[in-house]
Amino acid sequence: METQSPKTKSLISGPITPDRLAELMAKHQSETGTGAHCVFLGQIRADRAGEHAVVSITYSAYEAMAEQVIRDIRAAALAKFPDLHAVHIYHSLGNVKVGEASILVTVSSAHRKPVFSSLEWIVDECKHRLPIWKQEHLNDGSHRWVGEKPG
Amino acid sequence: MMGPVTGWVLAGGGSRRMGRDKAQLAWADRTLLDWAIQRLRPICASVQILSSDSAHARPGIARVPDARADSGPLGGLVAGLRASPTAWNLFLAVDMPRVGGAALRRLLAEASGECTAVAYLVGEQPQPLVALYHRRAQVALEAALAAGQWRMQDRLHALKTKLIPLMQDHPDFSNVNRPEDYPAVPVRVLLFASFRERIGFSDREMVFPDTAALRNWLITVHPPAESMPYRIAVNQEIVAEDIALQAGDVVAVMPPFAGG
Repeated sequence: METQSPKTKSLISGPITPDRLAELMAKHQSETGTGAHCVFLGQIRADRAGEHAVVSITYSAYEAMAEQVIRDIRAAALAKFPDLHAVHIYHSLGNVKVGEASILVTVSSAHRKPVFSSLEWIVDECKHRLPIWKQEHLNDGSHRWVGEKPG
Repeated sequence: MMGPVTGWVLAGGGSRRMGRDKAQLAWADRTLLDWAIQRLRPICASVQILSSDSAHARPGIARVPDARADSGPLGGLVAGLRASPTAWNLFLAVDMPRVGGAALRRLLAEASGECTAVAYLVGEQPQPLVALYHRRAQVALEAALAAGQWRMQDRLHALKTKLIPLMQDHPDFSNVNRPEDYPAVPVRVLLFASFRERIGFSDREMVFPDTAALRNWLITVHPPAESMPYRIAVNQEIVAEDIALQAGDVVAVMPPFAGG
């Protein structure tokens, strides 16, 4: 079974770049018992905010806790979905522009069924449990914290 | 409309039971005296300190000595009313660090022309040292001071006091009288996202006995937090209920998560 080593950092400075996904594909080519991967890639959308639009997002985190929560989520996923061979979770920190990716989750198994259901569960857990915050930057130069009332 | 209010910190004298000056004990990121000033400032036109002890002097804040030595808090109250520039006066005992900004604002909101004082009634116990007094109370309090009737709870009953009932043993009204009443310990407080931006630090050593006291501090320095589902983690574990803190704990105060 190949999975992200506990020492690997899941929080990455800046956007998640295409080479990271390519690297994962290459790494799994030696896993000949694996027959299915499922990939979730979260991309920054140019949301509208009144007359303005989002141009980028800056992520910040309680890094030590977030790394631990990611390890917990990965362990819980492997226990809950015993057919999984591998789980990878990466999340951006710092500034990520519209069109770039900020979260990458991949799961691998022998067959396709376990990867679809487990991937959704893991992404939901990440959304609810990771101590990560985002600040949207708008094209008028202002910024706002997401998930909080303005004030 | 009640007009401007003067805030008075009853800093008290040396405490025999505590064995040291309560006003100088640590709380949050300052002393109990400075924490009382910090809570009164946002709701009072000016804040003054009632104390005969020069160690309680603070730059830019008037210090008024007690009206009579060894008369307890009554001497402080009378001295404050004598010196006050305003009709209404909010008094706060230095050793009641858990009474937060919301409870103090409520005293002001309940005042009316018909009463002379506004105070909390905790179970059967009126709380004369976290209370609002109109200057009309001065005559009766001067007479009590002259007659040696220093028991403050009796004084409240003699005034036209509006009492706000609270449950028996309300935790916000526990005061610090003995060393065992003061289990506050140094912890490391981490702030994130909007809390970091608005409150102005990311990582600071502070002193609290428990997470309830920390939450009270948070909504005092950053009132919008009160209506926000923020979370607290102690040593990276989210706490669902308030817990006692241990020296060296790392306490994270976290606005709603927004990853992804």
